[in-house]
Amino acid sequence: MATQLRRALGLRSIVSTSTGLAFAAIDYLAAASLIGGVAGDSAWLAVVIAGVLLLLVWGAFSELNGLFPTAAAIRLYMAKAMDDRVALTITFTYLLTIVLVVAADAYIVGSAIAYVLGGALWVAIIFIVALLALATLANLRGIRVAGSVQDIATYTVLLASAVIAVIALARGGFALRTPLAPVDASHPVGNLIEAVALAIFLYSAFEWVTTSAEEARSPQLIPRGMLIALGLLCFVCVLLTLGMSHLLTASQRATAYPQLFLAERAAGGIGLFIMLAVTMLTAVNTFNGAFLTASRFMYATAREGSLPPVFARLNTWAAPWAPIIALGVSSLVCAIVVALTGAWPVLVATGAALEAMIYAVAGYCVWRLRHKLPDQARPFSMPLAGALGLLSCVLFGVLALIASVTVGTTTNPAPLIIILVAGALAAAYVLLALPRIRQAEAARRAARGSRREAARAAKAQQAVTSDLTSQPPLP
Amino acid sequence: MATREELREALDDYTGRAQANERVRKTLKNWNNVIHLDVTDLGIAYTMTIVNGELTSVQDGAIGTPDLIVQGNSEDLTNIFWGDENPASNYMQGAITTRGSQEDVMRLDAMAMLLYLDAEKK
Repeated sequence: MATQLRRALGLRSIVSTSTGLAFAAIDYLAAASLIGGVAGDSAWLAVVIAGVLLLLVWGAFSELNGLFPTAAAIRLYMAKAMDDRVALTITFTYLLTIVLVVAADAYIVGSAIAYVLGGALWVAIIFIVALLALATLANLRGIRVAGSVQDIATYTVLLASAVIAVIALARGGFALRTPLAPVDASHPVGNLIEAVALAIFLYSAFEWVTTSAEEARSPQLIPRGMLIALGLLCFVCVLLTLGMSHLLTASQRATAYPQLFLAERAAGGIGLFIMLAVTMLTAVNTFNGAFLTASRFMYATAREGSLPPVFARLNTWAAPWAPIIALGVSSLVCAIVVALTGAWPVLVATGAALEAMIYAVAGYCVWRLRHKLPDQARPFSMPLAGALGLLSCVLFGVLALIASVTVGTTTNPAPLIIILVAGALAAAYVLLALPRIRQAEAARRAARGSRREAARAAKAQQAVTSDLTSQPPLP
Repeated sequence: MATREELREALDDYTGRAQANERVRKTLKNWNNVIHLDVTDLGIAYTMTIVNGELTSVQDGAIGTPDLIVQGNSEDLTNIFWGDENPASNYMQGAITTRGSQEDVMRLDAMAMLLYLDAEKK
């Protein structure tokens, strides 16, 4: 039996981590956006279809997590499945998702607080700056949200959101108006496909829990936890879309805080304050998880020699300060741009497209590694991996493309342009700057020489000297 | 494949450098950890004990309940503890595997990095 660790994550914490990372404040906005895309109260269908499709992603990440149960898994399976330069370019582009999610949460929480206080845009911007400064400082000081606090925060957010949504449904006597409208022949099927592409974003980041594989009490807990998390996310998001479609007007759904209107309509002033608190709680999970995951990944990548060495420097609280500041500043810039332009639907679409892209990559990696590493032990084996891996790659590739040119209900290439620019910058870095960084590091190591060899040589020299001195003097 | 004696020599050298390094103690001052080193090809283990950022001992065998388990072959571990190989590269390539908190993994790696940088200056 494997040695047990003093502290290890159990199923409850794995489920809460997976769900908490996925259920950010922007999920309320994404749920509200879905309602505009399909008729009546039928957005739940897009949420359920996306949930079913994500079972493919669940299978892929469970297999990859079993193959490489490490926080560095994304580097390992991508580097083994494709050219390392391509893998790094995709990975760096994907890091943009974390910036977007942090920025979105700061913007939504700041806007929600400003709305409740009756403040204008500048009040929201002050709160955005304050929230991100607080998150950055806490991370620079190495302050972590304890696992138990994170568990409580996640389950409270889910429970409160579900209860508010159920109360909202109760106000209409639980009567569904047009629950199956998208499958009706009179509605264009394209709307449903676009809605499904967007609904993927509701589940996005549930797979980040695989970076905690080394902390799990048992490797089997990660796939089990992700599956339960998918179920919870599907259940709560279905309720939210139904509740919002019954009680909110189109203009309320288009704001940065539809959840506040939902809670107010469902439970009055108390509901409003409860939902404000819940929105702020989502930020605790998002900021904690995103800052930690991204900064540690950048630290490890810098230590490996794939990012400039400054990203591997630690401050006196043993926190990698450069990645934390980079993440804080880029999120702040992004959040303020969104606050000034009100372009959060672009943020949602970009995030959805990037997530679908990484899901397509995961499907490809499963398929490719089945051929490249057929004999490596797979504690979790994706059923029909050859076919389903490829299907997943194609399906999520198409959904990524759809999401990248769809903002709200209109065709808009802005997300695609953002992703292409980020991808081009990442590729330029990997192709032009990285070889120089690696060369410099190799030269440094070569100049330093091997300490092991030096010790060996010194030992051999000592043995020769000792042999000479122990020999009897010549007559 | 390194021998048991070679690995022990590397660990002793590493312990001496870690204990003498003020920067390691300062940066990792609040870190307390029990680490099991599992040497896969030799079938042996060591226990590293860190108290307030100071590597106090490296004992033979897997003693007590660990906070972190590091697994690797003798050659890689010996080179890492001599400071000749980058533990992060080994980790990112899957040659070294760990079980435990990411924070502890990062701190252990930071200790190796600080010792490496310090040795480079001398």
